Amino acid sequence: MSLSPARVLFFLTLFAAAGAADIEFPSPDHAKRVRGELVSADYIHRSGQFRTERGERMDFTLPPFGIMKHQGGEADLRDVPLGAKMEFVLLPDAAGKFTRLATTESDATADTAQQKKFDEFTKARGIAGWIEKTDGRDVTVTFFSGNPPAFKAACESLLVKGKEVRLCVANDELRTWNPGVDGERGAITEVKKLPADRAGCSGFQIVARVPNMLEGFRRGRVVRVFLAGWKAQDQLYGESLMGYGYGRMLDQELVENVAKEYPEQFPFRTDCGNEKLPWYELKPGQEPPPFSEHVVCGALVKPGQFLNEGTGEVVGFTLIEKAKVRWLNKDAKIEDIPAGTRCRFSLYQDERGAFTRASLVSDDFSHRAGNYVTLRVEAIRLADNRIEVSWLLPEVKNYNGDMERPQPIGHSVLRVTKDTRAWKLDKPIALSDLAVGELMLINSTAELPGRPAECTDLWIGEDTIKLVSTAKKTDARK
Amino acid sequence: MKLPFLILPWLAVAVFGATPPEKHVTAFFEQHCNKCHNEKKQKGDLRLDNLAVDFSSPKIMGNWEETMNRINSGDMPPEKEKRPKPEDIASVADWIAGQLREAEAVRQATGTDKVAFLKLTREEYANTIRDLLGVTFDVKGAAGLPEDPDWKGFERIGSVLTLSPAHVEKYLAAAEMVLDEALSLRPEPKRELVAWAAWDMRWKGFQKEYEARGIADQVRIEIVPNNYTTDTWNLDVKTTGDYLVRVKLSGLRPEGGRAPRLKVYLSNVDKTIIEQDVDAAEDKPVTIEQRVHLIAGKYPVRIINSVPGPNPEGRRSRHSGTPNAFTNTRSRVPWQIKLTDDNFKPIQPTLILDRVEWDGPIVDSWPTATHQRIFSSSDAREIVSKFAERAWRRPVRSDEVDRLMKLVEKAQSLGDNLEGSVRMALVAVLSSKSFIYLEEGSTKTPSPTLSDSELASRLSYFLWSTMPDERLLELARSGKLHAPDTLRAEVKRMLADPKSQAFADSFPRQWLQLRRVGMFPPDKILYPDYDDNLEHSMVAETLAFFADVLRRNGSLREFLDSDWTMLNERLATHYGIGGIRGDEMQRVSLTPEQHRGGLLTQGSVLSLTSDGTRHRPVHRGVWVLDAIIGKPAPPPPANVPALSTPAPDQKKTTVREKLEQHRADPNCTACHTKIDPLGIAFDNYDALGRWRTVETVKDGVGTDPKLDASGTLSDGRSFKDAADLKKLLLGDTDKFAAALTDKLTTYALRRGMTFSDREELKRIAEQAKADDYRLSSLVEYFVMSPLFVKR
Repeated sequence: MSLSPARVLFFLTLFAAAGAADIEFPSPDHAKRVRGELVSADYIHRSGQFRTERGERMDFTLPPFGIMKHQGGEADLRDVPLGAKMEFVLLPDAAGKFTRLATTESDATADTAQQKKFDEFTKARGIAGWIEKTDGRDVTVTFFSGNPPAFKAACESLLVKGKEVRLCVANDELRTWNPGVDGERGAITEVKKLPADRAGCSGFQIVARVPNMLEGFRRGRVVRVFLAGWKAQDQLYGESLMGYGYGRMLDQELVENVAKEYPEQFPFRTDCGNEKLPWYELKPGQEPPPFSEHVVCGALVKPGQFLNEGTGEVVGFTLIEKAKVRWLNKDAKIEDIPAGTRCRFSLYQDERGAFTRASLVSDDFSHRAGNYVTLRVEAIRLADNRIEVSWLLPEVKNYNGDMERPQPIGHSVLRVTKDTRAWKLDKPIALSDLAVGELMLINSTAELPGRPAECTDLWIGEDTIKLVSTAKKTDARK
Repeated sequence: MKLPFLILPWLAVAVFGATPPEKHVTAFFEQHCNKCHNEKKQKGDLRLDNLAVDFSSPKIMGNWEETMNRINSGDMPPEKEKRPKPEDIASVADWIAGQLREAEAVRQATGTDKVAFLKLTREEYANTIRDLLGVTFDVKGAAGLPEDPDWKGFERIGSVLTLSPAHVEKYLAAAEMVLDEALSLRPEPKRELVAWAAWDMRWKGFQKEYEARGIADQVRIEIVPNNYTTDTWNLDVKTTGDYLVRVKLSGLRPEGGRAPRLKVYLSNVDKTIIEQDVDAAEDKPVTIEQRVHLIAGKYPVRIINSVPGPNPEGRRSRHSGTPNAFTNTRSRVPWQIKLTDDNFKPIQPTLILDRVEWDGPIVDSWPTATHQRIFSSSDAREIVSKFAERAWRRPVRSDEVDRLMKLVEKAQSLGDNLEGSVRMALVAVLSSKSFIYLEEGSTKTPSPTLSDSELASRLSYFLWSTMPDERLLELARSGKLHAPDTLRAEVKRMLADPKSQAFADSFPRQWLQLRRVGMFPPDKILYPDYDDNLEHSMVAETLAFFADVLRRNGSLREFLDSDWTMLNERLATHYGIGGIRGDEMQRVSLTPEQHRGGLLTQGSVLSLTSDGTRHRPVHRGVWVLDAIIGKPAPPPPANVPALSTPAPDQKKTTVREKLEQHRADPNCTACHTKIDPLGIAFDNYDALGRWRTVETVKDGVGTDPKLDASGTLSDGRSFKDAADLKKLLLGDTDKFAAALTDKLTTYALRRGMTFSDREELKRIAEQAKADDYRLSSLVEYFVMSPLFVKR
């Protein structure tokens, strides 16, 4: 389905003007619908990628009210298998690109088992909603749902005047901090029924009176609400913004992102916000602060040049003084990275305003290793040139003090070809020797127009990853 | 070092002859007691048929006290005997109580001693050090002096203020300390500025990151109500002296609510050095400056927002571990207490702190002015004798100077220079009895009246709570002070001097027993709004009220009722009176609907007579009898049962109703008939002095009962409420004037009044009446009376 320029303009106005405090549920009529198959999902940040029928890879992020569906029922991203085909209903983001996933649709008939699974999932995390209004100690919350009748069936008996609720502040990824501690107990003083004709709206609104108003109880913000009898508990390791009770969060992409949560604390534009402010200007002799960089991924062509992923545009770059280059989880020279490798570039503007000055260049191996993430092989479909992997964190201490492997934080499809090399320790192996359950890290080419990203190397097993990370030779393929 | 001058005063015990009791008492004993307590039969080793009053015998007066307690409590006569009438019990108990009080006052009187020694209170000691040496002595601090014991609220009764070995050490240490500060016998202290920025007091780990972001200068510290800066910061004071403390901050006041309140507190010495409301917008911080005296040492400093407010659990009012320091109210952690509404207008009284500075020590000149004055001569003897004369507030004998000079000589022989050796003698002067005590009388020339030097001190410690100034000492030296015209002129001069604030502060505190305010801190659940600010404001109202009457030479009637009072914002809010802003006490006109006026309906008086949970009509009645009517009630008998609480299924009852049941006991009736109406009249004021029409009752069923503040005085006059009672009391201004005169003279003469003073007291009260009971005039009549110069 295509969208008229007038409609695009309408959405641009709608989403740009209102910002964080915009709490209008969008009408699904105004969205762009694209058919595709799911190829990647980041459960924690509620984002992912799908490949269109024309082979184009598209990024998406679920806004707070965004609903994922599977088998006719509402679903968490975890429950939707890779390769699932559906129609993605997209809304424009602040830049006008259709990346905000309002909901998905498919021909599948409603599956009560899936809805039940989702109800359990919700019960453990609290139902999410927007704060419409605060007044004294009263908080008005409108709940989200992709399936109002199911929501009604699950929650109506608890959404009653006088019933206890526990309001937990959440960010727009629907992640909470520490519900057992920061959840504010209150009681429902009013229940209102709203028309549930907009995507994401459950049709239920409550007013709850709480003993203490918290900063997060503010118009336009998101809360998760535990209803009477539900246990207000912390979310899984990695999902919780506080990581309370476990050890320190090792993956820096999972900790509370201060640039995203507290944009006022940054006097410059970041990748997470402050669109109206100028970008940070590099200062001679001074190390730039965290979040000041603009991160772009692409294929390294040669030292000083890369191809921007997605657009294929050629970008020239120079490394700034004290810039870091990471290759196979080691400090390296830019010349060490083989041409064609997909890298992440932390960039700053030059005097003309172009992002050409790099403070960090790193390959995917280094990026994942730096965040303590490994990939576990979940399915091998060599006939289709694909391997499916889940994203794993290392073992951490659980609340009982025992070491425990946290739940996967995402999954994705990797494309392999006959040129893809697989390594166990320092020996190459055939892809056909790869087994489900093995852990690995990879490098790949970048996704370029007409050329999907393909794995160049798979380093299989924790020993191999360790060996590569500590090997003196910077290129383990030699 | 030995202190030859420090001696303890001897205990004064007057010897009086025994006198028989009054007839009605003898008759009561005849009828109810003598059967078992006579010449032949002495149950409990007590004989009442010949018990006489002898103030000089503690044993006999002890027997009287025991007798009163037994009769009062109903223990005696025993159950099988006929019960005496309640009014007879009351009359006998009253008479005995009067005798006991008299005996106590007689013991305090010093006129019969050759020399009387009356110890300075610690407040007077500090004031005297200030005027003598120009330095601050923090009496309440760690190196200060123990709290003075009181007698019926009065903290300056000679015979009550004793001296223990612990005191001696404290006085010696204090003398050393104040002289070290006052004299310039050490290197000149260097004035330094210690500044703490937000980084120092909170966000320590985030500074580098914020500097890199370029907004390090925007970082501040928000302090929510009932909380303080996360870290207690240590202040290292190298030199004792005066310091300027500056605090730069904003104070967000919610619309219609209270302003946040800054409290700078030294936790290890339990000392508050700044406490005030702060009303300054987030983008318009103010700097508060205060001069404080600090003793060398280390102090953990807490910067507190002392306004009450929600502090449900520590983390809500803390910062998070992620690097997001506070820069403004729009960017806070979502699980913290919400400070502003959705339009970012304040909803919590919040302090936002930028900077704290400690600037000092402030030295106005070097050598100090005191040093220059003391060492104006190079003759050690002259220096020592001049100093002793000022310090001891009297001419100094040459043998006294000789003894001091021995210390100087000894120090010189050990190698000390002039200044160092003289200092030894100065320490001795300050540790001597003549400094620590007011001495009255002489062993060589006994006199029933004060000498001019003694008069100068009595006058000065009465109106200024400090030593006489140069003019008073000079008038005393030249023997002119006692001349009536001179004395009158001096009283007027002294009352007009700012130092008379000490009298305006100290006398009402002691007369009205204001030190009991907050003694039983109100229950935090029943009275969540109660805070130190309210407590201080309550006392401040009463003191400012007294000071206003004194300055205007207003009538004592105003103490009983007035159409004005002194309020600040905190207290006005507490009373439900709008339109008053700020911490300062200001004169406010009252209307009858506000139910205030005079002392009796002030928060201080109403709360000092309550406990931490409820109003206490009996305490209130006892207080009125003592402070206003001047007829103190006899002490309560032992083992009085508590007021009963109704069963859970019974109707709620007021304290008054419970009291009435209690009073039905004939042993209680007599005294309570006098006491209770004077307390019940104020039932419309709760334990914190707030106006109400129903009593909040926890136990029982049904609605909270309506209050009835009406009553009948023991003389039969009725009133319907507190306002009505005030009218009756105004009709009895004579009695009130007599009661106040008694308190005023007790304060000035440092002893209870006895029968021998009654005539003089009466005359003073009559003079005051003729002058419409004006307060300053009353003070003047008293100073001019023979009573004031009487030993």
